[in-house]
Amino acid sequence: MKDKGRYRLLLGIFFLLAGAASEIIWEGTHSPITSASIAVGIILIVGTAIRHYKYGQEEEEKDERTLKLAAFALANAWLVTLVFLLFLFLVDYYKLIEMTAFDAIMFTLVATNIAAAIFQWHFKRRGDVE
Amino acid sequence: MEMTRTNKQRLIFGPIVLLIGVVLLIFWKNAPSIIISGLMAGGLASIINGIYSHSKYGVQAESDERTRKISASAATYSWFITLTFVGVLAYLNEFGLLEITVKKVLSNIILVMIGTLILFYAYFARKGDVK
Repeated sequence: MKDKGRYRLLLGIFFLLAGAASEIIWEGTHSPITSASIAVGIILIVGTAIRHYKYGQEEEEKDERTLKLAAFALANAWLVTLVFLLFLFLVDYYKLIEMTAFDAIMFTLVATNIAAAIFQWHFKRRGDVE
Repeated sequence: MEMTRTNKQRLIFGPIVLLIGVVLLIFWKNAPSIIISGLMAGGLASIINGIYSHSKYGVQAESDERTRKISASAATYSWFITLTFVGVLAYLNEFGLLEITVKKVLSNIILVMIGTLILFYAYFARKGDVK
C-alpha cells in the first residue's frame, strides 16, 4: 500500500473511533458532529480500500485527458445546478411545495452531486468531451 | 454589414421580446409582474449581448479550445466552492446559528455560484492558461 493510502486509512480509523467513542462515553452527545465524524471515517476507509484494490501499487490514471473530462463534467454539473436552483426559486415563488430553508439546501446538495456523478460517468464512458 | 448569424439572431429576437414586454405592460392591466420583467430582462440581455459580442469579436470565432478550457476550469472551481458554501450553510442552519428563508438561501447560492465563476474566469483569462 502506498504511503498516501496508509495515512488515509489511519485517519479514517481515527475519525471512526473518535466518533464512536464520543457517542458511547458521553451520553446525550448524539449530534450531527459525531455522525459526521463516523461517516467521514467510514468513507475514508472504504474509499482507500477500493482505491487499493483497483490500482494497488500502480499510479492512478491521471493525465491531461482525464483532468479535462473531470473539468468538463463538473462544468456541466455547474450549469445543471444553476438551472435547478432557478427552478427551485420558481417552485418556492409559486408555493408549489412547502419547503424550509434546510430542505432547499439539501435539495441543492443532492442535485449538484448527482449531476456531477452522472456527467463524470457519462464522459468517462464516452472517453472524450466533444 | 458583416455580422455573424448568432449576433443577427440576438439583435432581432432581443427587440421583439423587449417590445412584447412593453406592449403587455401598457395594454394588460394587472399583469403578473414576473412575466413582464422576465420578458424585458431577456430582451435587454439579448440586445446587450449581441452588441457586445459584435463589437468585440466581429465576424471572428468567439470561442476556441483555449477559452473553452478556461471556462470549464472556472466552472469546476466555482462548483467546488459552491458545494463547500452549501455545506457550510447546511451546518449553520442545523445548529441554529443562522435563521434564513428559502428565498435568501437560493439567492445566496446563485450569487456565490455566479460570483465565483466570474472571478475564476477573470483570473484564468488574465493568467492565459489554467495551469
